[in-house]
Amino acid sequence: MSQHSKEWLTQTLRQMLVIRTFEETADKLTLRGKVPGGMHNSSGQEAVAVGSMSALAADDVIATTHRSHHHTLAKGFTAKEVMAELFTKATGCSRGRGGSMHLGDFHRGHFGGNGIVGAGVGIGMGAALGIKQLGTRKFQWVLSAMAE
Amino acid sequence: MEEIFVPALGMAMDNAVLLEWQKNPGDAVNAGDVIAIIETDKTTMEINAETSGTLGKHRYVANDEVPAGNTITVVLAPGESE
Repeated sequence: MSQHSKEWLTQTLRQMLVIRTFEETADKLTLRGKVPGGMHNSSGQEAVAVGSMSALAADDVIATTHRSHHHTLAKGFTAKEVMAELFTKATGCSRGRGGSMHLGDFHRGHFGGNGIVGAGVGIGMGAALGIKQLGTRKFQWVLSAMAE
Repeated sequence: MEEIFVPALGMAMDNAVLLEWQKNPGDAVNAGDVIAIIETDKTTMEINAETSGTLGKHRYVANDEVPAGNTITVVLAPGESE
């Protein structure tokens, strides 16, 4: 811990708290039947998402799973655009077409969540191949929710 | 005031049947008490209060179908009214 600044630690904790608060709020709304399609939350895995995303460069690519709010928020998406996506609003990060399980934005290195367990592997491989052939940027992908 | 509602569980749950009330309007309620028993398309389950207080009016009667997410009654804190 000692190698990290107080600012870094505070910012990291803040991100984890944002994720937990976001999901507790979304869960309450889901129980009320307000979220189309429901949602899968990731309570307890905030540190996994924030820690892994903090090791990535801004142009690194991730592919995640059906449980992806924490990765998405830790990747730098705002709570507002992710919550809007849960409600399938046009202001959501996927323009309201994806909902809880299809958060993402190709332009920000987020190749999406998806509803099929393990399907992120194929998306990650495809993204890696594309990036290799283009020779543009480095590539890392995250599938930590597989083990959650 | 705590709203007691039928939770939307699963991705395609529309309605539940309110099988039985366990508390009546005006009854004292302790946190954790069973307020009602409902039946969904998958299971029968208890709905509990999270807070203590006095039960408000029943908004449905036994055997009514209740849309998921709808409030069926409230738990009033001291001094509160519906």
